[in-house]
Amino acid sequence: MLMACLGCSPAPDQPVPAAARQKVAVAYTFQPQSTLAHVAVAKGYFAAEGLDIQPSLHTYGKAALQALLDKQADFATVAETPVMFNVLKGEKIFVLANIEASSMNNAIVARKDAGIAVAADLKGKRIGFTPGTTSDFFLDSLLTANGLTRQDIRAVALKPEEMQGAILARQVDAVSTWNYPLTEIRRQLGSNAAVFFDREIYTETFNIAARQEFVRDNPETAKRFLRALIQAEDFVARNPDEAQRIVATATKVDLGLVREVWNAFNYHVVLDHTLLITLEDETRWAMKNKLTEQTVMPNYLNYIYVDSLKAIKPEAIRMGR
Amino acid sequence: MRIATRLRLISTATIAAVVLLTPVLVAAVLDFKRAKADYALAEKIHDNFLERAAFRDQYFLYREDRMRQQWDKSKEASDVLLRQARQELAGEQEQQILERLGRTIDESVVVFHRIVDNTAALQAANGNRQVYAELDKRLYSQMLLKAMTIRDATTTLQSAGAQRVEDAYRHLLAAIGWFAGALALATVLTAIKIGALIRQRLVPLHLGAQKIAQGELEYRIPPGPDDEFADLARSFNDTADKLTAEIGAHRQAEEMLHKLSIAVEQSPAAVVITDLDAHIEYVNPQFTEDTGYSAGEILGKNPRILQSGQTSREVYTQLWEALTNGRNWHGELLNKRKSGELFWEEARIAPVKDSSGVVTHYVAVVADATLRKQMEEQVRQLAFYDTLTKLPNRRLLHDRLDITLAASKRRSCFGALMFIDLDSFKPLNDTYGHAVGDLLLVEAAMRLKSCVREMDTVARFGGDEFVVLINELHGDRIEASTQASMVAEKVRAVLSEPYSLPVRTEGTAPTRIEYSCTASIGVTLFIDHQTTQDDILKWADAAMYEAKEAGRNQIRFHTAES
Repeated sequence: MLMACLGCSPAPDQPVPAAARQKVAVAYTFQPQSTLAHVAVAKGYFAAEGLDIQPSLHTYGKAALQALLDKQADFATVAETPVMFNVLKGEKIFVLANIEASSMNNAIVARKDAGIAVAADLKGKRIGFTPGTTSDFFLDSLLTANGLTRQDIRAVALKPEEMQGAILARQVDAVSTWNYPLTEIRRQLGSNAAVFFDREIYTETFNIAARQEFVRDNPETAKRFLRALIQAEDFVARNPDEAQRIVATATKVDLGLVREVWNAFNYHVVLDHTLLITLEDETRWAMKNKLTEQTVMPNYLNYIYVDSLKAIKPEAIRMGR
Repeated sequence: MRIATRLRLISTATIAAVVLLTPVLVAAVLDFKRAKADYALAEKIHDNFLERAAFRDQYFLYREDRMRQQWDKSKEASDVLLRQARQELAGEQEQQILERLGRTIDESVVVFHRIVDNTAALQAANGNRQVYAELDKRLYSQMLLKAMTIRDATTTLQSAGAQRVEDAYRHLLAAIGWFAGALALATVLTAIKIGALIRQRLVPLHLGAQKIAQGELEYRIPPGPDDEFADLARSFNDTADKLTAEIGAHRQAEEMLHKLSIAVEQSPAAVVITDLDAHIEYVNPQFTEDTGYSAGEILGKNPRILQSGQTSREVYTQLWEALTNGRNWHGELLNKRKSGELFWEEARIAPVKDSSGVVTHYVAVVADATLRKQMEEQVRQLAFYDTLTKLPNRRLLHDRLDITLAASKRRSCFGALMFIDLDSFKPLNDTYGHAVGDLLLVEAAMRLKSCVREMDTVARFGGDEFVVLINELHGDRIEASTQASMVAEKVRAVLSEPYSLPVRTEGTAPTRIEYSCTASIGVTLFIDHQTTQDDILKWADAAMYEAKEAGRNQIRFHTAES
């Protein structure tokens, strides 16, 4: 379907002949956070930059990043939490740009019939989460904001795709998850759903990651890749309806669902302090909770590569001003 | 098209351009001012953020309520500024930034107040203090994220404002540039137009005028299109026409002048030209011949060098009176040659006037009248004098008698006329011939002249008859008679003296003879023109006959009875 969509996408200005394009493997997700990547593919912006995209779609960013680390992909879209854990593991990766930020994408959806009406009711309950992801960190943040700790609940590790089944089957009382599962679960629970957002306590970022070695060897490729995403950013800002249709088509997600969650996301290709501060917050959390063996805060500036974006859109660099 | 019309059109176009561009310039100035005001507002918003950031950090350090209050007040000030900005900042980009800024600031309020609320829980907590401490940090991180976003937005707003100021400034410069450019263009176009006019119209005019000035008087400048240059070309051509005519006339005049000059040079009359101060500027050869002065000697001198002192002052007075009044003068002057010799000149002197009627010179044409004067004198001598004795003849006697009678009347004094006849002249004539007789007559005439004053007249009346006319005797008859009597006696005595006369007889050596010849004298007195000349002569003649009859060598006075 995605390939079909690619085939019928309108030709960009002066397209580079297919034979002359550089093959680039990209691991990105079905999630709304990867919207710019979907649009860039669909609108042929990558092709126009001379990139022959070899896509691999994943359920969530952690898996996409793993594909990158396994050298099955040259670029991946991923939230900051998997990036943080992999940096702590010593992986040589670069974040090239933040492509999405949201304070409303993470929430805990609970079953009211499990006796959960307010966040404090989570105490003692079984709460599903995906370890090493934003789900993990958000769960901890929300508990903290409500005077609870991990010890006050029964945390249940689940894959993102297992969340929906687990809560519907009452295997857990609540799940810490993201969209689309978040909205889908809420819809399915209907009035039985209690949803706990906290936009003041966590800001999620979705980013473009690449292996450091690849970026150093292919600096022009990195620029062309970002340039295509910037074109997609412009398109999304000016044509949100069409962008939603592109995403729905590419991810086979119901267009209504796409539209429902649309406003929870900001799609901008930037590099700002949100990523840095969040990475450091999460690192402290990980070290405090013994989720890593590392005890020293890494310098994340060594993992954020500004040169590519700076070369093509200097005003998008909002760090170190 | 007339040049004046073209210049008016260019001026009008320039003024129109200035009028059209002025609103653009004014708009650019206003836009620049607005952009500066907008930038100042963006700066205020940024300063407001920095102020609130300081309160936030103070609060995190000390957790005191004063900082919270000030943070809140700063937020209120922020709302006011953002409201103002939403109204005043017109750009779409600015509005988007303001929207993001307002949203983020509002979000930061929630985060800040959760921090404030959590502070109370943190300070009150016992067992789960670590949880509140962790929350505090998480919230503070979020606060920092908001702050970064706000700072980013305010900075972007400032940059946009600065960009607008720069753009407005560029527009202003462009407007000024257009303004100056329009003026410069007008100036350049005018200069080009004038240059073209000079090249196309003035240069041919100049070259044409040059040709005419260099003597090509037949050349005529093509007038070209009807404008001021054409007027000028026509004026030049008219001038050339007139110049040609004038030069023709001038050549004729020159030829005439040349002829006249030759005529003057060859003139038998002397010609002198002086300036108004009577300095001689020209003399012709005849002048040199007449006066003996060469041109080199006389030029620059005053003609008075020729004056003899014997021409009456009145003559000169009349001469200058006529000349200074612009009239000609004609008259005779008795002058002196370089050699000192006196000579008569008949002069005609005329003032020379220039075209405006002002006298600039005097021209004198002078003929030597000496010869004529001499001839006239000879004629006069022949007419009024006796050729033998050189005494006035009867005609001159009549004139003198007229004068004497007039003087007698004027002065009321007597005059006297003596009629003298030699008593024995005829025998001498008969004996020794007329030549000896003539010698006696000449001697008698000389003796008579010696007896009377210069003012008196001795005339030969005819043959051996003489008349002596005596003027200005006394007014009293007796006294006058006495005076006349004395003169008559003197005459009688002188004439009666013997005459020594040379006699030449053919075939013999010249000898002298002594000869006595008395005279009979008739005298008459007259006064006041009471009588006629004829009467006076008749009375004297009658008295003389009485003397003859009385025995000769006698004097007889005419009396009323005789």
